[in-house]
Amino acid sequence: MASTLKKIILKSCDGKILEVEEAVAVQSQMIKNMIEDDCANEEIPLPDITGEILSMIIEYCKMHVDGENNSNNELIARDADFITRVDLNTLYYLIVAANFLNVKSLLDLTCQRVADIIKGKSPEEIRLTFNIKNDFTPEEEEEIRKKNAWAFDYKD
Amino acid sequence: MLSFHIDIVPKSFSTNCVEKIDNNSHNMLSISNVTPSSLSHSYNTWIFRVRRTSFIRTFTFFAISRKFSSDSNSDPYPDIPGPESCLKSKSESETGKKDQKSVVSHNIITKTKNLVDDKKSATTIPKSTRRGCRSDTKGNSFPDIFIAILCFSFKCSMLRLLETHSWKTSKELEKAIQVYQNAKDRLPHRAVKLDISIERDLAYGLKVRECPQVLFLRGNRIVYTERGWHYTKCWDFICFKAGKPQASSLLKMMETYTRRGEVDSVKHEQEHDDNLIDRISGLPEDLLVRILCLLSLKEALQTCVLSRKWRDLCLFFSGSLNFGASKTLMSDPKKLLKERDGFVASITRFLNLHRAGTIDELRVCFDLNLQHRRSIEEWIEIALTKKVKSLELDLEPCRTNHRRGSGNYRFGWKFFKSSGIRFLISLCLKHVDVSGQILESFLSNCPLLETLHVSHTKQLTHINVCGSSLRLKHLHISFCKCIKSIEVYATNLVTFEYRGSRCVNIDLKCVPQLCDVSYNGQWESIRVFHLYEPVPSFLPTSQLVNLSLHISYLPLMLYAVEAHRLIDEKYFQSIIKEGHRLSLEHEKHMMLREVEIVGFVGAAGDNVLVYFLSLIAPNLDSIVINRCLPRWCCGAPINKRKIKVLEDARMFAYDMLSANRPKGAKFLLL
Repeated sequence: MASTLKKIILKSCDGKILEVEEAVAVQSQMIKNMIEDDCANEEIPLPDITGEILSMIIEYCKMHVDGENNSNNELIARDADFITRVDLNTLYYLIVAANFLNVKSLLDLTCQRVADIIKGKSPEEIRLTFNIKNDFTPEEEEEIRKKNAWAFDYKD
Repeated sequence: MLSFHIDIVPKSFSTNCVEKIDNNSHNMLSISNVTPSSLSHSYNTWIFRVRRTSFIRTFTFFAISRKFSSDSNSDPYPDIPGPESCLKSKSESETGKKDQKSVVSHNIITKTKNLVDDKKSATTIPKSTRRGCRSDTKGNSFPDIFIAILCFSFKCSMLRLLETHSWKTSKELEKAIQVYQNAKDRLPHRAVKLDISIERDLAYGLKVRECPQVLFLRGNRIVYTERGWHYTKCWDFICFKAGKPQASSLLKMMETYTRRGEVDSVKHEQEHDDNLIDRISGLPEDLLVRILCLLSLKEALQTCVLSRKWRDLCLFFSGSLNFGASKTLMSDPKKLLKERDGFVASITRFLNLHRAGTIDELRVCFDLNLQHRRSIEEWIEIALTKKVKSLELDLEPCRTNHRRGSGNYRFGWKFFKSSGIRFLISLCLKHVDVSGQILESFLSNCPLLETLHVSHTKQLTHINVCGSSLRLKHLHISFCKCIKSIEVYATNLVTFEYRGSRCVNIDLKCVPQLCDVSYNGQWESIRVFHLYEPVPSFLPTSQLVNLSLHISYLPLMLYAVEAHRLIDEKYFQSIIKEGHRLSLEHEKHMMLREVEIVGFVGAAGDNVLVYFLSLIAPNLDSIVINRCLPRWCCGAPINKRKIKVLEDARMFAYDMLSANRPKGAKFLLL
């Protein structure tokens, strides 16, 4: 049983050190690979992931490890609860971190969240939501709209 | 150690107020609130009020400048008093206690009003006023100026607060105003001048139908103008960039208005500076594509106007390429015909530019015919090279356009050359002419094919679904006018659905997995008392679990004649007897759990069938009796009284069946 209690030490870019149980850490495919290659005995430095984001990811992974025996619906509800608490900036950092750590379920969840935010919005609303700067000239934009008139003109 | 000059519109930002201002321009007052007399800090707030069209009722412009003196280290960010305090101090200013600065700011207001009021001419600004402005600002440095733009549309509000560093001195502001003023002669009167570091997105944010021109200045240069907007959405959020006390006190002020109910909603969205940074565009492209693939094709295509970075991302969309006409378009045939060429061209264009290596699905749902053969073939070929998994063509003609002159698109042989055909899992052809041989070639060339759906095709007469290695799980053939026989020899087949009005020869052989059958054939014999074939004889008895039978519809008139007899217990007993007799002659379906009968009207034949089914399937969970008539049925119109008789007969039949049902069987009436 000793192996299941083995701790993995993660270090965030702002110097925060977190100890995580191996069962939780292997939710990340990257860490899992490192453990398999036997490189996880010392602390693992994680550039670009702040302590705040890292602890959120660990919270998420723990939730999934603890919830393994729960029904699928319960887990989905928890996921939804987790992701709706997150604001846009944090969501961005979560995506980047989930991609780096290769936590597939979290990456799916966060990407789905962004997609849900985009859904049903007009391009102008999307720009305002994400502060995307429109760098087209009005003529260019008009031309793109014309070319894809099919997608822009008819709402279902 | 500070002095405030706050100019504020007298009452509120309500629409009433706007009218008041319009009627009486003297209502715009300059209010000064002087805290300790020493003037190490000075705040000037200008509120420029602009009369707008009926959609945006008001457009308010705040400029707060902060003036530091050399010895100012104490409290550089004092709070701006809320509106109440401003109003309190109103009397002060009215009684002539204005110091010089308040006069100056009043002058600016006056000037601005001249600028923005379309009734007044900009050229009427007295020279002395401008001079006054200059003299005020001379020698003072304004390290930064906050500019908040408040915009209240008719119902909701939008507040965007922007901090700018580009306004080094108030002189610049003055210059900008002058530029605006000069520009006014050339541009429409009700132009609104704003900021600086503002992004063009705000322009979209403000899009309002019949909105006057908006022009943006940076320094003293017009950087952007836009006109002719046609956007009617109301906005109910605030974005602001200044996390500084000035900004938050302004926000407090706004909140006061919210509390008073003058603004519908002011949502404080974000507080930190970095919240105006566009992070999402900074994500790696593969992640953005991943997000796009979670959207529908239409939504993904719309993102291409967001910015240059997003423009080409949708070309990597690898989800379901669903090119379908919307329902609104489908219901408007004239418009649909007009849009058709554009639709075809845009699909061709998109598919030719498409970069993703694979496609999950290609679905084309539009009124297309043989004329578009080339385009359709081009699309399918592109899709096949991209290893498309699911191909659906639904070329249903819209109602009033019944393929004038040009027939259905005919599915040809040319696709079998493509190696991509091997990856096809699902094939769905509706209103496409396809022959049995071609379908059989599909079956033999697509080892992964699991679903085959063919409907509304005139060419199909015989289909032979045979092959020991077939993966086919779902076979659906419906409304094929000329079909005569269906022969199935498919070990993996799970569901089989046949619909159509022709008498068809169905032969199901070696279908050990088949458990779900939906059948609607021409079934004339069933309505009359003597039932020759109560359940289609082709059905395998050993493993069938779900059975859905669509009883074809006999004109209601005939049934109406019979209805009087049906409400008779004796007659009903003979029906039950007949059902019983038939069941003895028939093999039992031991696995059958659920039967649905669609189109039940309660005629003698229907009742026999229901009773018969409940006998031959001893393990049945339920028989669902669905009264809705199949879509394609049409009977002679009958009057209300007769309908009542029919309804009574049906309910009687249902009650009788329930009362006499065999043990364990359950009837559900829908």
